[in-house]
Amino acid sequence: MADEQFDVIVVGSGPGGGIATYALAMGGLKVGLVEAGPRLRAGVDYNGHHWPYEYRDRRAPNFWRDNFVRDHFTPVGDRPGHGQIRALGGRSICWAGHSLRFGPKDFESWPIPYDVVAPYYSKAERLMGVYGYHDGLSNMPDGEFLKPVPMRCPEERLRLGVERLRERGARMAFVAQRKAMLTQPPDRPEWKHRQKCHYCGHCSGCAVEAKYTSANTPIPLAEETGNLTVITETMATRVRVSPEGGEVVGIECRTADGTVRELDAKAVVLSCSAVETARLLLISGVANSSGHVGRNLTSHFGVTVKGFFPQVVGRDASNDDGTSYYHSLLTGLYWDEPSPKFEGTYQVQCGAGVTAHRRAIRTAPGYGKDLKKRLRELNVGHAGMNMQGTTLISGNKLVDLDTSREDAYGMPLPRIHLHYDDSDLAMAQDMVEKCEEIIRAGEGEVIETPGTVRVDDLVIDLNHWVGTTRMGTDPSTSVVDTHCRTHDLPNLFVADASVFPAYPEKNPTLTNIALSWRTADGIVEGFRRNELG
Amino acid sequence: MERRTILELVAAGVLPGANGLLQIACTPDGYQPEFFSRGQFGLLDTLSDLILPADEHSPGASAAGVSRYIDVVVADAPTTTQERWQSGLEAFAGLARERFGSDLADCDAGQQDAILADLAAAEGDPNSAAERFFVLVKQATIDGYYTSEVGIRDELQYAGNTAVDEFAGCTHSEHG
Repeated sequence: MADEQFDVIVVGSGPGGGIATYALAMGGLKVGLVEAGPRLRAGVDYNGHHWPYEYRDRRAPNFWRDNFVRDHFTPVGDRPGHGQIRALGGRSICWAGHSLRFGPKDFESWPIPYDVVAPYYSKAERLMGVYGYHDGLSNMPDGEFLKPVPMRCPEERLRLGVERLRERGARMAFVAQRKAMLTQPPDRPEWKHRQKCHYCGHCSGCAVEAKYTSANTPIPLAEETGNLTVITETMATRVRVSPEGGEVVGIECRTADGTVRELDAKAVVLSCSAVETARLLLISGVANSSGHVGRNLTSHFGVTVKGFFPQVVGRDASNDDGTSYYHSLLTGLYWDEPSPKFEGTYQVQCGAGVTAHRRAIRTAPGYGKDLKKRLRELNVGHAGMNMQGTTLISGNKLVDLDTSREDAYGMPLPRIHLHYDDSDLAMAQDMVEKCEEIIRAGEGEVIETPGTVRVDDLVIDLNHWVGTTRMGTDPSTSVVDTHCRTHDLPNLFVADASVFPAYPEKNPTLTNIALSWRTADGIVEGFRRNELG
Repeated sequence: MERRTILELVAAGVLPGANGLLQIACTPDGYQPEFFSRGQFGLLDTLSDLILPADEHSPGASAAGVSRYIDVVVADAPTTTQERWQSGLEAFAGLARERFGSDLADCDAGQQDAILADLAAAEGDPNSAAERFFVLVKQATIDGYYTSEVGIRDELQYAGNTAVDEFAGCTHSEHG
């Protein structure tokens, strides 16, 4: 017998679950939001403005490093990684805020075109508050931007390098970042729980809610409708299906003390992230007639190259914090003409600046006054270029269950298989060569590079996994339809990035939010037409 | 650097008179090393200052409390790391005695420089125990220095980690 009855249960409160909850509650549906972690208070449970020397080990608090759940998956192959934040808001609390629209070209590999998602990009940007310049790029459309945040001096040198290569025919662009942070006072009603950014750089765990999170915008707004029940510190352990197996009837969930609850709903939305959504479906044994749950896994990966620009050493570098390290982006690579050497695309997130925390330059040869002077100049004049490429979707990358290991809730842990393909290595090699060329074209010195890339140099993005419940029109090769409803169960939906059927180089969150909003609107419409409930 | 020297520099306006700086500079007097012996601690002080010395720009590693940082980090580290520091320090201390017949701190500047220059020449491909120790102590010195108040505020002149109204970015037309 069920404890509680809802129109819709949303499992997971990250970027996808947060916006889905908002759209469903605003649409008048009774929503239960189930989140494994607790509700945290920004500025109380986490804070910025620490100094490393205040701590014995010189490690100042960092929301991401201090909170992500470790050892909750079994790695297979090449050094995979997976980060999960268990808290109301999920990884939207610690995301970097990068908000880049996928472009028309990117959607050519999807069963829905750009124009279908574009209105939701606009709605999402207005709700979130996204700053940026209007760059007029063909495959990274401009959005509804707030006042932009400029680059630092060494990043301008990279831009100069790119400009010079463009004059010689190179197809690439160097632009400032676009991020979901309020660069103006919170003068819209949707922003009433937020503040203007004060450029301290502690964006992973923004203590003043200048950065958009599920926990500071859609979830509190949804609660104010009276339609939302937030159920924290409760882990969804199974999707429950009717005795005939034709539809979902709710979920089973469990609290840390072992209490098992059953929640009933007319529809269920899974927003647990690509690894955890696939895991829950596999554990429940549902929505997998295609055999594709957990397959088609991809993330972003890359290597780092750093340059030094002696021209900018005399600048005032006393406060480079801004909106954290990356203020700029190398993009536009291989949009129009694919590389003959690898499949897919990459972008390069670029940053610079003297910092008291991470990313300070701490390597140079020698000792004594020369070393000290060199380190001072390197910190002031360096620029870091961090590749973000999409790993090839292949049989070498997937999520399944490790039935030999259980978590605290008695659920088998996910197993992440990652074996880089030759195409991945070739892409990283191309990035290294391009970035070294750009640094030299900007009259800089390459100070850090892998040179010839080996598999051990590659770093996977722990947070950008997608693809495990991919969208498609053919139920035999995909898990959800174009409205992110599972082909197998008419009232089971996925609202997170696991539905991405193809993955460009751009960061996933804005598209996850736009698409999940659209999915939730479809559910509201389904209830209105009495097709659900 | 001697405490008196620092006080003189502060009085002369060469060094900022932050209380923190004076406090850090004074602590070796009363500080009880948690892991290293007093002799080893003194050697670390000398060595870290040779790696990152005081200059016209800012105080050096010992004034920044680098040896205290190394002491607590090694005290908290696994046994294998602790053994690496112990044996490394022994090998390093032997170097000065073998070559110049005295402890590093008692060598003159030219002798100290000769020792460091040899070790630094091998830092890309360290082979002997002393060469490997140099790489270890150099990285720890850099890590400790640039996470200290002296390293961050005085040396890097960093004034961030605070709330500001706007972010100006690059304002130099000649940069880009």
